[in-house]
Amino acid sequence: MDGKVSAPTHRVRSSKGRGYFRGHDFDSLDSSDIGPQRSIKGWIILVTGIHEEAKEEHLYNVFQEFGQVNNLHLNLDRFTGFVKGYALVEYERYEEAANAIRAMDGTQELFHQTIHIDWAFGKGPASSGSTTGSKHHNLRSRSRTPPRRQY
Amino acid sequence: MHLTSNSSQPGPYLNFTSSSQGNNHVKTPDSNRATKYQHRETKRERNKERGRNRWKGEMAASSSEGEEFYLRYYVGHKGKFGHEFLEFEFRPDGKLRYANNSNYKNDTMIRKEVFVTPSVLRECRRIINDSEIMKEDDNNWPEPDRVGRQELEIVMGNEHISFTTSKIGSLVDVQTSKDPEGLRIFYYLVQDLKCFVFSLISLHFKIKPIQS
Repeated sequence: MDGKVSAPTHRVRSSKGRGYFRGHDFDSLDSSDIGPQRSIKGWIILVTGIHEEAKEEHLYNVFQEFGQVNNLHLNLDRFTGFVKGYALVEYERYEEAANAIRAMDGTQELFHQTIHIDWAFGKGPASSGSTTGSKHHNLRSRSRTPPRRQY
Repeated sequence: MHLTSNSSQPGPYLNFTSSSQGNNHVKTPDSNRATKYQHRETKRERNKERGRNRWKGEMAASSSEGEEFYLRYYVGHKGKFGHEFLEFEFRPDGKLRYANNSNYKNDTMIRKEVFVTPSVLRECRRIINDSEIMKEDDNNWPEPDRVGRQELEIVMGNEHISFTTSKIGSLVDVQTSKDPEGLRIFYYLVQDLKCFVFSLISLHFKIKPIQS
């Protein structure tokens, strides 16, 4: 080493999308420890903000556009009988799910009400107190100790 | 809601998932009910201490993101087939843990765990907030008994509730209790949470049978 003190590498990269899982600022983590987690037979996304009168069939048709929907759970509110407000959609392939998220997150195409979509499962713990508004890139909450200076 | 021990399956709970396909519990949406529910006024005085296991802390009017969140639900009993119970837990770091135990026919514990994303935690908080369970108290709820017990523990920011009560067989038990309003909120919230957790767990772990 040339003796120069350098801060831990802070890569600045322009990127779009759900910053939480892009992981570019998680300097000490192995890349296999972060990101969405595949489920047993596919990739599952969570859709929230669904209108209470939404019909499962309509939802199915909308999400079929991105790929074969293997599973769709649109649970009801046990008290009112209306849709609770979320749905879990399973695609066989990662790209299909990612496209659905990219295309529909934050839109109002369904029922004129803003919906949000994100992966349902992750590979590791969320950093404490993190908010994952999709526009927020979650910077590392802790950084690794800088490499020891060697003279 | 009874945890019946008469089957080797985890019981009626796995049928709690979704949705519009032929399910005993499906009712036609009732907008009167929904309105009443949404505008329900809490006449109850708010205490600082909530639940039988109290944690003395300040009360926050609402929780916002970035605050701590923890949820645990347990329902079970001890009997002929051992300690039969269902328990699930959302941890602050996003880990969802699920356990279902019975010794019926020498069955063993089922344990699943998976990391959920902050979006899932956020939706869980919304469900809890919408129910207004944090305003309730279990002072007047039936005590756990031989038939069984339920425990609901939630930490949301500054508020921590830890409720313990007996099993609820049906709405009749709710209506004849000393606190029908509060217990009803608990009853339905538990059902909604179960739906959510069972959907997550079954989608993540279960393989669908081959369709002919």
